[in-house]
This record gives sequence, C-alpha cells and structure tokens, in this order.
Amino acid sequence: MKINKFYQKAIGFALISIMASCNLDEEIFTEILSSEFGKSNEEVNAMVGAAYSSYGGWIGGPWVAQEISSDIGIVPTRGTDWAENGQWARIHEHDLQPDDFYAGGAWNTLYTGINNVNRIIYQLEGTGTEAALQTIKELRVLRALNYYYLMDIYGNVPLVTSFADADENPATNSRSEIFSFVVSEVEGVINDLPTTVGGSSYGKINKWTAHALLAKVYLNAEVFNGSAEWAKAIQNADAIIDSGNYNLTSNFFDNFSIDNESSSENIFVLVYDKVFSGGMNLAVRSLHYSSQQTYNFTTQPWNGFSSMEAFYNSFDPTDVRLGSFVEGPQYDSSGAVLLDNQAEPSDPNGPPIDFTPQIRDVRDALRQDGVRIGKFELEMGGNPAAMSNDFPLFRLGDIILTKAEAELRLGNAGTALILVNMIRERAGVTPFASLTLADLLAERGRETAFEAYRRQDQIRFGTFNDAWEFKPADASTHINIFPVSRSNMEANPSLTQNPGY
Amino acid sequence: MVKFTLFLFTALMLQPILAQNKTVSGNVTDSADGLPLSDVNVIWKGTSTGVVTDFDGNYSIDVDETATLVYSYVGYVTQEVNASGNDTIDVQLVADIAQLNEVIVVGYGSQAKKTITTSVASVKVEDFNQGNINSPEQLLAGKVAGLSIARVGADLNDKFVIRLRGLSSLGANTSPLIVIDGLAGGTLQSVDPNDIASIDILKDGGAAAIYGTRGSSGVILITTKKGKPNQSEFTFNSYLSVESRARSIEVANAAQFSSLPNVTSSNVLGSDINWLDEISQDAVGQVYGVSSSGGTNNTTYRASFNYRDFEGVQINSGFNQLNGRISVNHSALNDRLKLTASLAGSVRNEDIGFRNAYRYSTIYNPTAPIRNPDGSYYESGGFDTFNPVAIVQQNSNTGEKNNIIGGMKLEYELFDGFKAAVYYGYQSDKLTTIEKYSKDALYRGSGRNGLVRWSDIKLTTKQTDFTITYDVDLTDDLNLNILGGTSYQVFDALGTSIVAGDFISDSILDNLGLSGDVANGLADIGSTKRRSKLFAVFARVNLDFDDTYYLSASIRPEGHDRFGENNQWGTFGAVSAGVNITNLNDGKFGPFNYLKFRGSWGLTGNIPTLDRIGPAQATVGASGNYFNNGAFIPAFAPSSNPNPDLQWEEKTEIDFGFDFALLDNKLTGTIDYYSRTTSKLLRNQPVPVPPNLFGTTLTNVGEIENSGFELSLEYRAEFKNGLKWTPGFNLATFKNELKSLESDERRRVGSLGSPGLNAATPILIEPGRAIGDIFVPVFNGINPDGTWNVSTDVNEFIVAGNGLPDFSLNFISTFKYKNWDLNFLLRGVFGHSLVNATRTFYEQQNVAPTYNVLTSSFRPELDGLTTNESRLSTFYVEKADFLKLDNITLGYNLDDFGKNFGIESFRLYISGQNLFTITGYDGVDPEVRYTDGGQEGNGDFLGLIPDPLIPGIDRRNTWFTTTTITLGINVSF
Repeated sequence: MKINKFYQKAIGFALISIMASCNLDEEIFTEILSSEFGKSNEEVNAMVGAAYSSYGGWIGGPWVAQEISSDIGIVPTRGTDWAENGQWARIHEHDLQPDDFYAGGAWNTLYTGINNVNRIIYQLEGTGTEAALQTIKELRVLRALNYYYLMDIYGNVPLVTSFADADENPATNSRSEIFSFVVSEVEGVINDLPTTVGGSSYGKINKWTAHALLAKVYLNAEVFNGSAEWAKAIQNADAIIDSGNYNLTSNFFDNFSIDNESSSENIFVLVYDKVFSGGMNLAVRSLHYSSQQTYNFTTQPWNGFSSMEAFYNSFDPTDVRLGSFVEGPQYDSSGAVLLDNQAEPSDPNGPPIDFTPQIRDVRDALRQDGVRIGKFELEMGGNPAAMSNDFPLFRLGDIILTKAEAELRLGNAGTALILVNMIRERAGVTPFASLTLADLLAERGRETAFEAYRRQDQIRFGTFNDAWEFKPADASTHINIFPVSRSNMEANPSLTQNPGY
Repeated sequence: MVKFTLFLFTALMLQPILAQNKTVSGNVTDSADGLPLSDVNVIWKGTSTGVVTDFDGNYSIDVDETATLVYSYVGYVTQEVNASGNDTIDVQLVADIAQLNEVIVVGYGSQAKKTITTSVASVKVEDFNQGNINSPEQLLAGKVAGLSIARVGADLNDKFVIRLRGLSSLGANTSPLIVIDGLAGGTLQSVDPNDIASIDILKDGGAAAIYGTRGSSGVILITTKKGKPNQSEFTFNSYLSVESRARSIEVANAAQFSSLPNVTSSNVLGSDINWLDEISQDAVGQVYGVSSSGGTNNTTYRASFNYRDFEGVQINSGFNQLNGRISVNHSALNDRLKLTASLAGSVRNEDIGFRNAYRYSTIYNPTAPIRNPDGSYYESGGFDTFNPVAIVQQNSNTGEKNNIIGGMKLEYELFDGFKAAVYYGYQSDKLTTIEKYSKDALYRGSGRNGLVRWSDIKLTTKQTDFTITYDVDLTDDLNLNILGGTSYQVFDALGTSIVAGDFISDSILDNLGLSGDVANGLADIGSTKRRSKLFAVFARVNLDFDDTYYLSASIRPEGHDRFGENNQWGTFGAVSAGVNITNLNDGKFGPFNYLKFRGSWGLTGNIPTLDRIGPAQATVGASGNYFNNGAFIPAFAPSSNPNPDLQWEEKTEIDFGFDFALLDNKLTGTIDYYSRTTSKLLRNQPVPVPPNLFGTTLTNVGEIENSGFELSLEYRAEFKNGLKWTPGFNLATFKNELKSLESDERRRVGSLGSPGLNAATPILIEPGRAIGDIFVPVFNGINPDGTWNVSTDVNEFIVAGNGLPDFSLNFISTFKYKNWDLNFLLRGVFGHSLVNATRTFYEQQNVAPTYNVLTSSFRPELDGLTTNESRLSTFYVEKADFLKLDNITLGYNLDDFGKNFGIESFRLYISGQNLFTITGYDGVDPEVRYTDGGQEGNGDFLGLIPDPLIPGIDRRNTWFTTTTITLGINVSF
C-alpha cells in the first residue's frame, strides 16, 4: 500500500497547488475603483463636473416643454414623418397626456442633475476642505435652478435635497414649498458666491447667475406662489444691471454664435461643444432633410421644429431679429436651388424648397412648410445634432425686459418704456411711444424666441389658454402645469399626479 | 452536364464480372426464440451480389470458394461468415441493441447510451445534414427535438441562432455552451464541418450540470475526427454550389408608381428599375477539402485542410475561409499513458455587405435612374432613402476572423480502471471589422466627408483541467464510475475601436492618421481590456446495477471573480436515475423490445459575457465633459454600484423521459417532458439615486419558466428489393412565462422607428405573461374621412399573437437503394407571429413619392385611405407558421467503379437547399426572430445589444432568402 499513500500525497499536493494558482481576485483595467477616486484636485474637479455635464437632454426636455406648447414653436406632421402617434400635435393642441414623451422629458433631465448635485455634495462634505465647502454653495444654486424649472413646468414635485438619508420614494411637495426652497436656498448663499465673470466662472454658477435666477423666480411669483413680488424682481435685476459686468452686445446674434463664449451679455450658459459636450441639437430637429447640402452638415436634419406663422408675421421688416429664422428659398452650398424631389403635388412651387411662413395643418403640413429656427448660428460643415453654440439660460436682454415688466406692472410705465426701447433700438426697430402689457409680451417673444421662456411668459401674461392656429381655447387651465409621466408615477408610488390628468 | 451523364453511364457499365463456382444455402433464425427470420439480407461481401431469406428464413446464393457472407437485418447485429468449405450455413441473428451500446460524449468523458439517465442526443457523421454546409451547427438543423438552428435570411456572414428548449436566460448566453474537444467556449468557426465525427447535445439540467455555470442553455459537444490505427486514409471532398434569391417582396413597378396619388410628373424620372435585381447576383460557392489520417497501434494522426470560397447573393458580399487541423494520439507504457494533442487554425475573410440595401431596394423610386448623366449615383435626397446600388458599390463592410485553438491531454492509468489526466486548452480569436464609406456616398459617407469604422478585438481563453476517473466492477452486477476534477479558465479581451471621418480622398480610408476627425478631436476612439476567471471543482458518480438500474449524481462548486465577495462561489449539481423496464421483464414489455424510464433533476447556472457584467466593486467612469476654467475637462461620475451579494443565475430543471424500441427494434424513439425555472436572472435593475450612487445595479432579479414536450421517432424499414427507408420525425413544444423581472410594470418595447412610428412599440414585457406577446390596436378599416379606424387608446389594444413558437416539427427521411441514396429534411416551426415592419411602413399608397410602395397597398381593405400616416395595428401582425424543405440530397455511390483505380469510396451527390417554403407569411422570411437589435433609420448605426425580451419583429432590413443547388463529390482511398 506504499504506492497508494504516495499517490494520495501526490494528488493532495496537486490539488493544493491548483487551488493556489487559481486566484479569483478581480482585475479591473478600464475603470477606477470608487474607493481609490477623489484623492487629487484633478479628480475632485472631475467629480464636480458631473453636475454641469448633465444637460444633454435640455432641448428634448425643458426646451420642448417651453417652446412647442407655446404660440411660437410647432412641430407639424409632414407626410408620415413626425406623426409619432400624434404626440407632437397634442402638445401644440394642449391635449397633454401622461403617456406622451414630453411628460417625462424635462423631469428626467432635471432630476438627473439634482441627483448628481446631491451626490456630489455628499461626497464633498466628506472631504470637509474650504474649497469643497465653497463648491457646495455653487452647487446648491445649480440645484435650485433645476427646481425652478421643475416648479415652472410640473408645479408640484418632490423636494429631494440630501443623499445619504434620502427617501427612496419621496412624496410630492407643493409648488409653493418648492418656491420657498428655491428662494431661501439661493438667498442663503448669494453673498458667498464668486463675483468673477467669464474666465474661470464661465458656464458655472456665480453671484449674478443667482440674482438672475431670483429675478425670474420673483417675476413669476404670482404664478408659482400666489402673490406677486415685482419689487424683488426689480431688485435682483438691478443687482445685475448695476454691477456693470454685463452689457447688451451691439450685434444681437453674438449671443448665439458658435463662439458665443465671448458674449458680454450672457450671464449663465449651458456649455455645448461638438467634440466635448453634445446636446445642442436644434438644427437637426428643425431644418429640412435637404438643408444638409446648404450647410454641408455631417448628418441629415429631420425637417421638424418650425415657427408659427403669426409669430413670424409679428416682426417688423427692419427687425434684425428676423435673422432668428431660416426662411425663403433655399440653396445648396454652391448656390444652386435646393430641390426636394418628393415635394407633395400640392406644393405650390414644386420641388424647389422655399420655407414659407404658412403651415397647412399641425397634423398635415407640407414638407417645406414653416420658417425654421436659425437663431443659433449654423456651422458650415458642422454636426447639426451636436452644435458648439452655448445655450444661454440667462442673459442681460431678458433681465432688462424682466425689470421693464415688473416696473410696468407696478405702474412705472416711463421706466419700463425706456428699458424696452433699449432692446428695440438694438434690434433696429422704431422705439415704442407707449407701452402696454400686450406690447411687452410681444416684444419679449421677438427678443427671447427659442430661448425656452415662452410658455412661462404666456402663462404669466394670461394668454397661454387662448386659441391660436390649430388650437382652440383651452377648456381648463390644468394644462398650465404638465402631467407627471406614467413611468415616473409607476416608479414612485408616493407621487401625486397633477390635477386634471 | 452532358459530360457528367456520360461519366455516370460509364461508371454503371463497369461492374466487375465475378466468378461463381458454388452455391451456399441455409436458414436464418432469431437467437432469442429460434423463430425463422424472413427478408434478411445475405450479401457476398465486396460485391453487389445478394439475396434475401424467404418466409421460412431459407436462402440460397451462388458464390466462389473464398467468399464471405454478410447477414444483415434491421434490428439485429450484422454477422459475417466465411463460406470456404461450407455449402450449408445456418445463422442465428442476435437482436441488436447496438444503438444502446453507442457511446455518447457527456462532458469530461463518455458513456454508453443505455446507461444514460438524462436527456442527451447524439448525431454521428453519417446522420449529418448534407449539401452546402459551411458551419458545424448546420449539420444538426432539424435533427434533434427541441434544438432550433436557423438564420433569418441568407446572409452568409450572419450567425445561426441556436436555441435549446427555448429561452432560459435573458443574459448574453442564450445559446448553448459549445465545447470543442474539451475546450469550453470554443468558436464554431474553428472547426470545419468536414472534420467533425460526432456532435452530442446535453439537453437537460441533469446532463448539463457538469458544466455548472455555463450549462443553463444546454451544452453542445463537438468531437473532431481522429486517425485510426492501421487504417491509412486519404479523403477529398469538394462541391460547387449556386445560390439564388428565393422569396421576394412585391413592390410597385414604374407604371404603378407613376399613377400613385401623390406622385407628380417631377417624381417620374423615366427609368424602370427593379432595385432588388440590381443589388443581387446568382452566387457561386466552392469548397475543397483534403484529409490524411492513419497510424500504427501506438500513434495515430489526422491532418486536414479545407478551403471555402463563397459569393453572397448581394453584390460584393461573400466570404472565404481556410481551416487547417492536425491531431496526434499516442499511447505508450502498455497503453497506460495516452497523449492527445491537436492544433487548428482558421482564417476567414468576410465581405459582409449591407442589410439595409434590402430595405432601400424595396422602397426606392422605380423610375429613378441608377446613375446621373455625369456618372455619379443618383440620390433623391429624401429622409431615409438611399440609392441601394450606391450603398453596395460605394462602400465596403469587411471582416477578418482568425482563430487558433489547441489542446493537449495527458492521461495515465495508475492502476486498473483508475486514470489521472491533465488537459490544457488555448483558444484565441482575433476579429477585425472595417466599414468604409466613400466621400461620395450619401449613405453614411458624404456628410462625414468619408467615414471609417474600424474595430479590433482579441479574445482568448485558457483552460486547465485536472481529472481523475475510476471505473470498477464492485460486484458482478454493480459497476461504479467516478469522475473528479478541477477546471480553471481565464478569459481575456483586448480591443481597440475608432470611428473617424473627414478624409481628403477615398484612397486613404485605410490610413486613419490622415482623418481630419482624428486631427480635430472629433473621432471616437476607444479601447477595452477585460479579464475574468472561473474556477470549478467537480465530481460525478455513475452506478449501473445489473444493466437494469442506473443512477448518476454530479456536483460542481464554481467561483467567478466578478461576483460579490459574499457569493463568489455557487454550487451546481444534478441527480438522475433510470431503469430498464424490459430487463425487469425478461427482455419484453408489452410491445416494447426495449423500454427505459429515466428522470433527472439538475441545477445549472449562467453568467453573462464580460461586457454585460460590471465589476463587483463600485467604480467611477467618464461622464461627459465640462467647461472648467476655460477648457473642457472630463467629468467623472459613479459608473457602478458595489454588488457584494451578486450571485449566479440559476436554472433548475426536471426531466422525465422514456427511451424505447418497438416492432422488432425497427422503431426507436425518445419522449421527454421537461420543466425548468430560471431564477436570479442577472439584470440591471433601476435603483433610486439616492441612496445609491449610480442609477442601476446589477442584481439577481426575475424568473422565467419554460416547459415542453419532446418526441423523436425513427423507423428503419428494409424492403425485399433492397430498398432501405429510414423515416424520422421529431416534435418539440415550447411554453414560457416571464414570472418576474426588475419591475412589475408593463412595458411596451420594440419601437418600429422613423419615419413616424417611433411611438409604435408592439412587444409587451410584463411579468405574468409569456415573453413576446404582440400588443397592438385592432384594425377596423378606414374611416369615411380617409384616416385609420385604429384606436390610439392603449386600453383598446389586444394581444394579436406571440413572437415565439408553440412547437417545431421536423421530418427526416433517408432512402437507400443499391448505389443510390436520397435524403431530405422538412423543417417546420409553428405558432409564432411576426410584426411585419415593411408592410406597416410601406403598404400605404400615400407614402409615395418619398418611398415606393408594396403592391399589397392596392388591396381593397385599404381603399379610401387618404392620410399619409402609417399606423401599426393588427393588420400588420401575421401568423408566421412555416414548413421548409431545408435540404434534399440525392447521392450515387461509385465504389465499384472507383475500385478499379484503387479508390475505396467514391460518391457523387446533388443537393438542394430551401427549395420551397410553405407559409402564409407575406414578408421575406417567416423564421422566428428570437431577439431584436432595434432599427437603423436614415443611415444611423445600430447601438443596441439584441434583446431576447423583444422577439417577433421582422425589421425592414431583413436579408432576402435564397435557394441553393449543390453538386459535390466525396472520394477516399
């Protein structure tokens, strides 16, 4: 039996050496372990960056909610294209449905940002350094900015401000609770925020961004919270105007150019870039399929977003801001007439593409119907789905009109008229001799078209429920706040659906 | 053809003339009961001379003095008797249970079929499908109940989808594990079909449990041919095939298009083109294979080379592939030491072509010219329309796949019946894919000023196994067989990819350094490096008592580095038992000559491939860029949550079955019923942030249940005139239910895409339902105002079908008559429906002139439709049951002729594949769509990993089907 013992030992030895050589420790090559991240300044900066890089869905979410539901923007069905089960027609007709994509679009983009901020604050609090505490103040304002848009679009939303001990299914808070939160959050830190303009604070929260946010919150206080706060809106607008940090650019379109980071008028922008930061995709959504040949775009546009005819017609022919539209006969980059061989038989001029203001019907438009969005410079040879134009959320032109409106509503028509005429003068149109609220709303439209203000403005001026082309007057004002999407409702049973849906 | 006929004629005339100088007669009886056997074949060996016994078992045959007589009868063991010195030879034939003595490879060893207590199937070389076969799995199509092997359309470079007993995982490994000569996870490309000796299929959990974590979707074991001692053989195989388009979609011709309601004179461009014809060709394929094998008692070898060169039916598509393989077996020390070594390599070059060319050939304006007067390709420039000829001529989509697989096994018999072995296997696959789009190509190229997508990935696996086996007769009646071992496997992936455009000339598309996008930072560049490791310990015990009672048990604890520290190890195993009922009953049980009952329980696992499974520890990864202090810097955010509790997906399966033989062993068959539950599915579950750092966590959630019934039958008939007929039949039913998932909420998925149907999502995912329910509104005709009478209210939608089949049914028949043989396979799949996306979009006269329309858009149900909206409804959900003549082959054996030239065997055959399909489905191919990869509209690229929860959508880019005729020759000497 000696031999057997030898075999036993040999097998035992073999098994032990097999076990030892077969280690199951995980090896990771292309990611960084959380436990090893955040040790250098470079890594901390990269961590904070996620708060600012979460606006890829800005156009598809908040922008669509503000513009396409208003009397400026429209997405007509053209042939089979853009039918999408009637969703784009319904938002125009104010037949808002929890199942439609726009019900969740803005919500998901904005809450992604809020969750990122909450998480980063939680991570930064752990480090406890001076620099971290300063960064937290900026991030709180960024979070308040997102809540401002949520409060505007959805009214009542859950308020989540912590990370470590957050409720898994937070319940809906009232619009006025959100209002109070935004105000106190911003006012609590505003004096500690950096005052630098441009440079290191470009695309980031500074003190003037916080004032602009407060000015807008107070301007809409009556809608958001039931009582007007015109004086506070003026006070915050003045803080920006009087700082001397910003001025109206002589060329209106400098604020929307590809290189608009040099604009002295933009206060806070979402920084987009064709290489580094995608999401600015208005051109691909708006221009004609064949417009690819006009701008030598890298990809074909979708022939969708257009402007309402009546809005286009509200411009004075001398208004430089007419440049906000792409209109009229179209040519390719070599100057030849741009043709659409699939133009409908009913197209009056046949295949040559001519963006005419008329739109036949929101549910049945011609392929060439409607003037298109050209406010943001279109880059020759660029990618229309990832443009490099930074998107201004706040700019001085709007702040001046904000102050003008508050003054007018307080009865100071003279001050208001001077301010509005500053804007008109730059636009190359005759100054107003007098000013009504209706004049002011119309001027706001021409000045801030396609900058995601219109729905909010119309609600504040009481025109959002009026009838306009392809839309009857609203039977109920419940559509002044959007429905919570079905999938969000299902994901969080504690949520309350907005009334009327 | 004339030459060929002459050749055959000459061959038939050259029958050798034989000397006959005596007569042998006798009587043939059954050894068991002594009763005479009629119709027994009595053949003079080496000649075609033969007779059959009469009703009383008597025969008489004229032979020469040295003749050997061969007595054969279905269901009995063949006997040979030398006739020298005997004029009367009486023979007792023994009932054949040879097929039960057949040896089946079961994983880490093999077993006689009669002792097997689980559900396994074995297909030997003589039963393989014939004809134009370019990949090992094609050899099995239709042969095994419950094993479906099919490809949608005839893209030669598309993989066959292999499903065993339906869907048992939602992870990446929905196909069975492929084991090639012991290497788990072998690449099918590495084996030429000509080199395969047998394929064994472990169907149930009881059998597959020995492969533990990778056994849930079943196991397919491929055994390659080996040299035989003292038998030198040289073989040559070749065939020529011609493939042509089979089913088509009928679209409006130029005249019909010109009269469509929205078409104006500016859309009628003067040509009359059938675009499908313009991108298609009759494709020729050729195959050449040689092998050499032989050896001595101690050393055998086999070496082979096979070359395949095929055109595809789409212009500029096809592939060529070279496989080389060599194996050596050596035994020494009185056969106690055995070495087996093999090395194989293959190189495959693919011209993949563009499936979207089919989509656009269906809908391109039939009056448009192919080219403009200046020679450039005509392009209409509309949304989602591209000149299909330009797509396939201006661009290229190529792949190169290199595989090396090698293994070495050293086995030593320490004492009688006790063997220890070490196996080392290595496989490397290097895959390169290069898509090039011309600067002039509207399809993907011109907007980017030339575009290249280039990716390389190298996948390697290394496997080390130690095994011991002990085979001993404990008593006269009790045999014990023990297996024990360990297996360690390391998987590595290493890859780079780049997508870059903007070139100054098409002639430098291969020089990525000259891409303007690279210079400007606009290129997408990525690299990947991943590793994972498996370690398993396993054991199996088989008991055989008196050749009547069988018992088997196995266990396999297995660890994987990607699982959380709390659950890094899982234990899998199986228990199964069987009893030979006929043996209990003196060799007979009712009408049964053989009846075995068996039952098994098995627990197996599944892990997704590496790119589906995140690290076990929390990580951070890139999350876009942000503008910081005047420059963009990358933002980093959590990219996974920690998952210390993550564990194996588990499948428990029970299987009961009977193996039986009836009618004097002429009818054999197997019946199985199985029921399996897959639980702890690995899914990315959306989790709330906070408290989690990342929005999804890979967790074990969800459960699927599958059950089915399988029956296979084979009858071996032999007629007096020498005709042998072996009809076979197999049936499998499938039933599944998604019991739970990460969320209970109902989801509607499978968006049909642009233009206008992004919101049309026909497939339901909802726990409590079968996977693949098609949920759409009812078609109620056309409203008086010309719009669809189809509700948009989800509450009025109905389940109009299901994308997965209810059952499959295959008929196989082999006829042999003298030198002729004929076999065919009819393959049918029933009960599934398909959403016909092509009809949904283009069976609509008003989508012209942007798109051409299907001729079915003139059908009366659509009269009065004036809206140009397309609307998904029950109208486009079609039953897709089908029966295909997959394969029919007629062969003629010229052995006798060949002998004149020293040729051992010589066979010519002609084969047809997919000669007809019987189906009510209107689309190009009614095959089951087991997964969905989404849609690629307007020149987009597909980004999604195909999803098994979305079966049943026939997308617009389906490759058309083909019919193939093959003429082949097999020679060996």
